[in-house]
Amino acid sequence: MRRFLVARLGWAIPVILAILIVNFLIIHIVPGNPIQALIGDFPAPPGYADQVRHEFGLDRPVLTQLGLYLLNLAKGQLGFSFANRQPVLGLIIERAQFTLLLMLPALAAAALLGIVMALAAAPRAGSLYDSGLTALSLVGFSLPIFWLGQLLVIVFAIKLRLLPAQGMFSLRTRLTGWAYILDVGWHLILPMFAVTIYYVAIVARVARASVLDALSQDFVLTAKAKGLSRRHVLWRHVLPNALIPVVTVIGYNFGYSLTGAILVETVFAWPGLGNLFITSIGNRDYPVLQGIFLLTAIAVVIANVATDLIYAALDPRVRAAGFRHA
Amino acid sequence: MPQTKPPILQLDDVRLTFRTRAGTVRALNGASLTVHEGEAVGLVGESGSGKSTLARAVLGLNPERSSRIEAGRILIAGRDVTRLSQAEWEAARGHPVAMVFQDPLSFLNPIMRIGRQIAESIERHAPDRRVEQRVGELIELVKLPSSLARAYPHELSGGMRQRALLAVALACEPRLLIADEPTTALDVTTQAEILALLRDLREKLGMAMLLITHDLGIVASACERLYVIYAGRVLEWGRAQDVFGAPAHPYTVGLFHAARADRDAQGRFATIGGEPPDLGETAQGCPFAPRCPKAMAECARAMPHASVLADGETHAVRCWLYPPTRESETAVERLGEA
Ligand SMILES: Nc1ncnc2c1ncn2[C@@H]1O[C@H](COP(=O)(O)OP(=O)(O)O)[C@@H](O)[C@H]1O
Ligand SMILES: [Mg+2]
Repeated sequence: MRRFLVARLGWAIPVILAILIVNFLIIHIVPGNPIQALIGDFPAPPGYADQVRHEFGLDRPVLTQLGLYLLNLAKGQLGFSFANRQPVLGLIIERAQFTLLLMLPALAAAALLGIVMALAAAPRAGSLYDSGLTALSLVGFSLPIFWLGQLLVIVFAIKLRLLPAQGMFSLRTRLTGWAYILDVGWHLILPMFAVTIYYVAIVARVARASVLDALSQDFVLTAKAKGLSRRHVLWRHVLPNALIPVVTVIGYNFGYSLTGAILVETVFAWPGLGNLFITSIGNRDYPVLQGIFLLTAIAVVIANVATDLIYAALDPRVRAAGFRHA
Repeated sequence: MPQTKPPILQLDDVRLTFRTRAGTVRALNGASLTVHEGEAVGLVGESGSGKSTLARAVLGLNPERSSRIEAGRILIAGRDVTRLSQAEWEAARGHPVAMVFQDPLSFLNPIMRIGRQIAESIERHAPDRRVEQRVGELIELVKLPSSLARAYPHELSGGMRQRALLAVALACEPRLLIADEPTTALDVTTQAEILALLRDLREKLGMAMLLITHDLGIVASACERLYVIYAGRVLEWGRAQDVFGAPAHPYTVGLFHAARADRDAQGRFATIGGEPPDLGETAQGCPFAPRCPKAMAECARAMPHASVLADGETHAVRCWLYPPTRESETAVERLGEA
């Protein structure tokens, strides 16, 4: 198991490095000028732009900049955000927390709901309930998430005035303690709902297929033949076998969820990583963009390794293969 | 041979159909069969003749929505189970009838330890037993090393898996064990070991066995009586020694040739020529007639009643080559079949 982990993580380092370099080059090749974005439309003295450019090292050749960036990275320095006037690392960590606050509960809820729905539907494949579920999850899956988000805002925030439309805090008050937590939770409901619907649709679809597959396996017949109840067969034999592909889908989605929230965060003005990403593109804030890419790459790798570990925990056959090959 | 013991399983003219996209499949077309307490009975037939369907019907394991018992009765220890609901089936399965299946790998849960799979049967059927100890006993009973309780199916050889599957079934403490081609997936040496084990177990536990196979050789070594099934119909049945001594139905004769691996002039193994029957049609005559080397005009018209062949009423056949007489018809009734 240890060797398996070391091998997987060792492989991850060159992958992440390659992602960083490619992204670095793409950002710098795409037209746009960070200095202009930084100074804005104010009339600045002619030497000022050059001075700023020099200050941030942007007058050097791209490859030199890349070298410097990697050198700093090796020292644990992600650089400084031009636009936010703040070190990149702190900025990204702060925003990543907000994103996780949104995505973790949403993904967990989606996983649970999706699996339970599939368990209820698959044994009655073809029934009205099952067809309804399939249709709904197809709709949920193909609804553009920003459209759904705006619909939610219109209905619940603007028409019904039940929930806040945007942001993470109430702006006019300064809350502390429980009141603060409740306030954040209050703002969390709508965006979380939008994300959950999207992922429930994905999980339910995959889970339904894999529960159906597990139900048709021969060992289900053995379990029935010994007189086990339908419920016991479903929860103890079918579900654990069906979970294996579902875990894959959830795990891989989890890795991307850090930035996957871009659309939702934009619609709901949620101050997470996705939001930071969009504003940083507008600002040509290279160090922040690079930092987000780095974090995403690391998150995807970690999520994939974690997925493989859960996989191995669920399936002794994978465990055996893992020990042998890694 | 008059049987003194009461029947543990009786199928009485059972007709079962599957609904498929391609139409109705008539898998059992009036199958009748009896297994008495403690008795070892073989059910033999080519692949597709309805053996598994019959076995599964006994435990209500055919697909709930696509299969239907159209007519006939299935009695387990005298109790009619033909029209049980799913909830009633859950209460009825495993005891007194348990079942082992053909492919021991796919029929074991791949991600559950062998010991747990056995323990589930114990907890269901003998919950007051000390489960762990009982698992150990069962593993010993099927002659597996006790360490295998903690193993997963993929870590076992084919023969060991079949033993494990056997332990799962025996944990239900059945009075009748249905074994559906328990050795088909195994190599010849392992086959012999499993058959020997089955014989031992039957003696030790005094349980009855319905052994399903397409291989007559296996029946010869393991069973007292046998039924020969084709297209969901029993064509011949009787005491093993009588049927083996003088197989009557041309289909049975064909199976014997195949079992002895007779080679024809070109050195090919003998099989029964022709295609298996179309189960979508309701056959009026004998289902084997289109492939039968001895087919006559009558064969296509109607299925004959059974006629008893041997003295002592131990061997019967349904074939126009042996037209039933009035005496033989009453004898068949006394035999408890047809
Ligand atoms: N679940 C099912 N749905 C449709 N047809 C089936 C099903 N199970 C078996 N059959 C059909 O019933 C016939 C008998 O099959 P089976 O009982 O498996 O034969 P055997 O065990 O003797 O090989 C075959 O024609 C098979 O295709
Ligand atoms: Mg079969």
